[in-house]
Amino acid sequence: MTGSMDLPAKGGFDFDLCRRNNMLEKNGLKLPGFLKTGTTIVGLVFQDGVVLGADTRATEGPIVADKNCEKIHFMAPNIYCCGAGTAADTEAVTDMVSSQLQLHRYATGRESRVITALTLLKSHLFRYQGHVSAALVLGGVDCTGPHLHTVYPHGSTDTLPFATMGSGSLAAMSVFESRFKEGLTREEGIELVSDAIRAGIFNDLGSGSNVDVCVITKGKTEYLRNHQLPNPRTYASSKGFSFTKGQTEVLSTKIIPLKQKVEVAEGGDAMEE
Amino acid sequence: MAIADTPSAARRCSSSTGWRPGAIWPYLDGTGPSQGRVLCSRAGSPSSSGVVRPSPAHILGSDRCGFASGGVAGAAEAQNDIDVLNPPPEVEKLNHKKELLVQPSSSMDVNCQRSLTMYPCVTGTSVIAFKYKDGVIMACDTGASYGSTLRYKSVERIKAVGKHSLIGASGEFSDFQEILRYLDELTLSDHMWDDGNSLGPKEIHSYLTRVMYNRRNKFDPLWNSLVLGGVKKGPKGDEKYLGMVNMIGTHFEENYVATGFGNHLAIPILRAEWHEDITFEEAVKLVEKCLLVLLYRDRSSINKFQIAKITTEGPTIHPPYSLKAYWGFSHFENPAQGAVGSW
Repeated sequence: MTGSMDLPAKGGFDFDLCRRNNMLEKNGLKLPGFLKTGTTIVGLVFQDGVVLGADTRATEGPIVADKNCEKIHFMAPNIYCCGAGTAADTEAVTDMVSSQLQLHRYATGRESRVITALTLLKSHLFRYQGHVSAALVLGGVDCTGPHLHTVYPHGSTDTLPFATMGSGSLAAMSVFESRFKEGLTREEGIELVSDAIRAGIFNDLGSGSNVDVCVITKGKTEYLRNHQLPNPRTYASSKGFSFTKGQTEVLSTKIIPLKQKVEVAEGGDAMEE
Repeated sequence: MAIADTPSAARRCSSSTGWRPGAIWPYLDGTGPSQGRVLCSRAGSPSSSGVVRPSPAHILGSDRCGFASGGVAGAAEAQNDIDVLNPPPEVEKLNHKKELLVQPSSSMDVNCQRSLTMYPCVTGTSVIAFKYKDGVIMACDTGASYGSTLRYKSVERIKAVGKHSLIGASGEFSDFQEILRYLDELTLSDHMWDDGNSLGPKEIHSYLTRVMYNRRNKFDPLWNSLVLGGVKKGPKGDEKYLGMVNMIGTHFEENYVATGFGNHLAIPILRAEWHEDITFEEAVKLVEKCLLVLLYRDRSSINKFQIAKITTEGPTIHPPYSLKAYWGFSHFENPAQGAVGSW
């Protein structure tokens, strides 16, 4: 092992810049805040497939940054994924795996399977050792049946009949643990999911606004965006705004005509192709 | 400082030598009994002369330090009249044979042998309670953990207080036993008045709030979250009362309360399903629902619960029993069936 050997790139997270980042932070650099989705996301398996649910509040510290964001991400026509944690991380990771699944579908000519998505997600997250802060509820129906999985930021996964993630997960889990049973119908499933999300919305500060639901069955997916709106604006004028003439008193009027001057340049250069 | 956080202390406060700030600190101008001598007698052990401990005088900015074993104490005695506000420690000791039930301690008292509560040792988990038609129902499990070991499995964390109240506690169990002693003293001295009136839940809640808050102010909290429920005849008939106090003194009154994990797991269920004048049977079903969720999702809970209720007839604490947990989901049987070899 003499001389300098050019080792192939090992892959995995490159921690080289961490020392520099620490030094910068010590010297007073304020890192930009990140948009977290303090969240309630849930999923359950019913008799024909999977129902996923999510709230729609994205928080940046104590402020609500987006009061109607979409937390149920598309992975494949038969697979959807809810994301909790850092919004950028969940978006990026689900987008990336969604593209990989699409390429895989072209290569194999078959419908994507849920465990394919699961394995892609967990290997990616494990490589990044928890620095990609994405906690996901992945659900879908493929040729082997309905599946529901949770994926944690460090890369571990669970396969469950019902699952909740996010800051409101305990409130939602209390609803599931007390009312879930196997073989629910579609209506019961949607109702239970909505109740669980509402428990998260009203009992957890990081979750709020509306309820999104996604129902996946064999051959059909229904994305019910804003399925419930339990937080309407309290005082909304039904008439809307009306600004009639004469409501504002006119004190003075001054009209300045602008001279129109158009110059046409003769024989200029043609635009570059 | 003898703050009135026990009934006996309260009575002692009004005695002749009651307020004695000088017991620990000198006057702000630096005079007063020698710190070394005072601290010796309080700590109960002889001080080692070589060690210069940071005495309160340092903190207060006086330039007297260390121990003057001859010093000022001797001078005070030589004065022949006893300084009532700052009596020398020997005279103090003669007057007070009984130590205060709660040693007054503060963060400034760095040489006090008693250390301040830093962490709980033996802890109980959640307690849930809510009002129902005839009174208040309270429930908890009967386990007490020692760190991550389930050390005690038959612990009663709900007790009756007088004729009108129930107290349930989560957190450090020894502090709960101490609180029960204080409540015993309180109810006993109230009974001795023999005036036909007895302490109701509101009064006990108020008393506990003061105790908890005062202890917290001395940086020596009683590490508990207490639930206090009861029924007492009031001007508007039977008035149900349910309140909670926690270790920092936050207190409030509500129709349903829960401590610890119950806040996250039981309160959402209670918020959705509790209603006014719920019957006892429905209340038990609701309690069992909450307890089952806590059993599934709280690592320190055990499957042995006690339900207690308090009505105008008095408190009843039922014997412990277990709930049936369901583990028969088909997904639990073979989670990797879709992909053999996956994890």
